[in-house]
Amino acid sequence: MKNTIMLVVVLTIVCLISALSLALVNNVTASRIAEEKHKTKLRAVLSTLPRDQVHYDNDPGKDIVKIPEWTEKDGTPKEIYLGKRQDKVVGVAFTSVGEGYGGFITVMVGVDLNEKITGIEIIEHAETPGLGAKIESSELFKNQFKGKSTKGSENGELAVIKGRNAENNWEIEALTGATISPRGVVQAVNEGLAKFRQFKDQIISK
Amino acid sequence: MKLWQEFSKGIVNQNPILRLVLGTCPTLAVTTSAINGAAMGFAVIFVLIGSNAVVSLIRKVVPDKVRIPVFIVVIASFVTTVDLFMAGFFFELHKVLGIFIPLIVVNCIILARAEAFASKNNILRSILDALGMGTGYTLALTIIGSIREIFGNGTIFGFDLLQRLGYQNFLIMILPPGAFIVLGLMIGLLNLLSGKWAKK
Repeated sequence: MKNTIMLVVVLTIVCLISALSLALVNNVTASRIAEEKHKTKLRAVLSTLPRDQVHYDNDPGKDIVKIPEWTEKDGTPKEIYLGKRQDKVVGVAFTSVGEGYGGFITVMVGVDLNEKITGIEIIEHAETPGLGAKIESSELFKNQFKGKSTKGSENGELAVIKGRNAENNWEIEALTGATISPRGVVQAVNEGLAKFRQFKDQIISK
Repeated sequence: MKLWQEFSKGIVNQNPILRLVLGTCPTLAVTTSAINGAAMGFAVIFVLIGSNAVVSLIRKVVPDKVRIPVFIVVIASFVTTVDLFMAGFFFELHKVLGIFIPLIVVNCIILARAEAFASKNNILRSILDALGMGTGYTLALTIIGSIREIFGNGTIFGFDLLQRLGYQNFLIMILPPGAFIVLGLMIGLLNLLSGKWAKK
């Protein structure tokens, strides 16, 4: 009996100390991590809404709107970044999540009022380094999305193609040796575009 | 065993990857480039030293029956600490390694050293053991990562090496089969060299 009590006591103490230490570490690092995540998001917004193409004169980082029905996975309203010229919305950027090869892919999507994509950036992913991860490291891959739109496609969505060059404005070429990762990105973009269409009027009027 | 040997045994003679062949899963997965291998190695060194030290400190009070859960909790705590600190202070590196940092918890090397050594030796030797094993691990990972990066991508640590010569990437080197091939060749090479050194 005494042995059993010792087992429980030791295990409990070890877990207690572990939990306390981790709470401490979390305390020390939490604000820095949040800061870094925010900085990454802002950089992505400016990259997906190129000022020389979308011609806005405000700071999208300060013009953020939220629509209660458009939420993140955890239910909090999504932050939608606005590019405005003379106080009228000309471009919008938002994040969207798709399923990649190694987990979720978070994509920042920039669109103009014609629902044309002005750029994408990969915020977070768990794809294979050197292969699927090229969705983030390859400027060529990301630049493909510029100017693409779903206009004219059968189902109103972008599609991933392999084995040939993209001929239509809704086609995205896959990466060599990795198709699932690009598909995850395109899935994220499609879902984001669908949501944007759904709430477009609300967003533009803000 | 002399104190220096406690450290040096992990570099070649008992190199965790090339001799003990432990933690092969992360080895194969992380060595797609030199910097990935090196960064992973440094994270593992930190965790190894931490877990070996703590396990050695509490070795006399932990009952035998719960030692594995206790070791795992200790290891996981250090890994989470590394993960959080890298996310906060080494953001670029953290992004590069991504999911492989939490995966250090299931790296056999850490638990193996805790169970086979730190739970039976004093703290000084345990730390030296951790340092040696960690260094050997990092060296092996960096070399494997470098080879795979040079042949598979034409670069080393991100710097162009062969690209400008019009090198066509040997894609298989950064895919899993390439990992197995390089690992196997390195183990074989080390065996060959060790045989020669022993004869001298």
